[in-house]
Amino acid sequence: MTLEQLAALLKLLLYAGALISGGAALAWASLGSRLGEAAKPAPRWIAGGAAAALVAAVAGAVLLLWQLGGFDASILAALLGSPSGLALGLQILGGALLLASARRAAALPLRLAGTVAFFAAFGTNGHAAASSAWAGLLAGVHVLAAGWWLASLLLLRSACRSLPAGELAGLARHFGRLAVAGIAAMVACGAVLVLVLVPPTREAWLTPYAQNLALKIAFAAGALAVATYARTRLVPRLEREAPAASLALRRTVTAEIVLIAGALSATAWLTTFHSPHEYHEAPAAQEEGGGAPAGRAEAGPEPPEGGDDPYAARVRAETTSDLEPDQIHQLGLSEVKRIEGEMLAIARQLGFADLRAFDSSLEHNPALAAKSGQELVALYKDHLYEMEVRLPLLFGRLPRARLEVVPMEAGLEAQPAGAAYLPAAPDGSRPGRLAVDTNQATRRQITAVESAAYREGLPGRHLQLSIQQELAAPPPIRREAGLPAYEEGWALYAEGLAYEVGLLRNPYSRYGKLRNEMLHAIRLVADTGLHAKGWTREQAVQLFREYSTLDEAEAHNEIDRCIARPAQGLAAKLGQLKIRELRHRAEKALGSRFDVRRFHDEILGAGPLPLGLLAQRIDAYIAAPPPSVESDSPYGAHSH
Amino acid sequence: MSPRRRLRAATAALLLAVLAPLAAFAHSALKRSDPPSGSVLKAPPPSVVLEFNEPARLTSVVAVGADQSERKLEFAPAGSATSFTVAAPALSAGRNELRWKALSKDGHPVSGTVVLVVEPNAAGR
Repeated sequence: MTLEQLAALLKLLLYAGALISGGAALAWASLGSRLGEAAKPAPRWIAGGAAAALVAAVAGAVLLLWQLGGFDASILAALLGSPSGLALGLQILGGALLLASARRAAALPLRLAGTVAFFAAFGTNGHAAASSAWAGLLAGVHVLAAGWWLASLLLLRSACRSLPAGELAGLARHFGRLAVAGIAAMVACGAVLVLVLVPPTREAWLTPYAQNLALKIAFAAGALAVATYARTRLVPRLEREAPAASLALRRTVTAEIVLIAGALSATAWLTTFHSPHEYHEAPAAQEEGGGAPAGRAEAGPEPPEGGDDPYAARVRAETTSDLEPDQIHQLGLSEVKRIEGEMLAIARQLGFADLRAFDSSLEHNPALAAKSGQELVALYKDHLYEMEVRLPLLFGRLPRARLEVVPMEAGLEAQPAGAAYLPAAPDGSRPGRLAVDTNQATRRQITAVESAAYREGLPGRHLQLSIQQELAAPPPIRREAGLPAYEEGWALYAEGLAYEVGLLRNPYSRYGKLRNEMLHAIRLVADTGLHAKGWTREQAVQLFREYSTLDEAEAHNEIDRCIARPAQGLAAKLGQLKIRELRHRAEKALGSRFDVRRFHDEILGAGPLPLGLLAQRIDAYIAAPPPSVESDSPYGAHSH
Repeated sequence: MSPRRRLRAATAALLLAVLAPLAAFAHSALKRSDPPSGSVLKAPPPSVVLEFNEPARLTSVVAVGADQSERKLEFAPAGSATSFTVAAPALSAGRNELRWKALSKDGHPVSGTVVLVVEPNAAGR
């Protein structure tokens, strides 16, 4: 149990004790001789309630002292000097007076003084008292009337057993007449207090305080409804249908008491855990040290004043590129436009006015959906065979490790790329594997299959990672370790090589390749936008929605990734662009001496390199291009 | 279970539901502090001001240093006010937490923490 829950329980005990004790004193005085035998329990209620209230008040004060910093003279002085201290004094005074008066039938002034002290305590401390003295007075009257009602019901409940039907009917009628005035006062004061504490606006009534208050009002309304039923239906029957009606009255009175107890519990909870400030002023937690002292609305890390830009540092770490975020942003924008232009050309060639219409037709074209998982696997195999026989046109060195295409193991599926590459064992005991996601195969578009085969398999990941593993020179760690910009960049570059050997002939497959490439281009814009250009999440979502086929949720996933791992999404596209740039540089410098096989061997021949080192390697190659090497791969040697 | 017992059980369940934790509470609250919480300071501040959204009674301010040592701090004024000044908090280098406790206007205990970081070389340690 937390201290707060303990405080709420003590408060409930205090409320119940004070209401029953003070209320019983009032009820005894107001119902008078009509109670007859039923007056007997009154002193017990007065004494028991007062004792409970005293214990709860003192324990509550001790708990409050503890919560305020401990049992220290200055803290005690602060508490006693506050309205809480005044209320505590009144509670102790009232409890002592009522306890002393309980056993003496003639001590009416003493009892009334104790009762007044008890209810005055409610008027001096709490939410109502804190808002104004008038509200405090209303709260005191509200509680006084509620206490009278509750205690009268407790006495009436005893009377249902101990009084003969005639006397019970007389008592019930007398109580009913008084109750109209008493309960009307309680409801009127309560209603005014509600209006003072919670303004009649939608926002105000949506706060937890107001909703808990509504629960309390519901309990009170339930008790009122039961009371009305008892007064109008049961009391008239008392004399005619004696024992049955008495029993029924006793039950309804019990129900009223339970509902009032519910209202009391709700009040204790409400006043401990909630505050009307929830509406008037939002909690100022943001000012405190714990949660978000430097919190801000924008996504991602914020550069410290006068310090290095942490995002630029992330960009260097993730991409090994020395481009500035702003340059990457512009590069991304131009790539998005270029790819969009190529995609639009394909869509127009196939008779569609814009990409939206084309994308929608692709989605609903049964000819472009896979028939089965087996068909998907077969498609990958076919495309890889077509590529494999053409590899000697593109590479001098080819990997010894074989590549096999297998259906993805259950549990690994749902790959957005449609296929995942698993490298060969370094000792050659197991070939590289392209695992094809055959889960829900018939819902997969085959437009993405051909480029995925080249990207994930050959000449993409399998070729690069196998050559890396088979390199003789570097130490083992360099044969296994990876650099995302180099590896992802190579895969993205490699799928484009299909054009050069006469593959990706089908316009739908070309479109599928461009769709994937577009996603990487958008990431350049969105990641730098969010982290370096003050973009909002909505701006970034908008970009993905406009230029990709991602739905709203997928777009938010992309943004979450940008925020959680700044710059990580930049690696593939920056790596691809770097390799392309180096190729253009080599072609331009070497002219007719340029051999694409030797260039690729050079790119792959040292394993993953940071992009700057890769550029140095290519510059060295341009300065002194060695003659072509013979291939030692199982694909056979070639001549040129 | 007899109908009466069932009724009692249902009543108990209803009361428990009412008493179940409903979370979130807000009474008086710290509006701001000077220096603001989260500040990184070149030198220990000569004083710290705590400002509340409504009159409250500050009852305790404890400084917790980077080494988890706790020190009670003196503050003024005593009694009800919206602004309190902790004179000469003598914060040490590194992270300092000022844990404050107060009695809010409506009688509730409220508490919070202001975090102030003093640059290590500045405190003369």
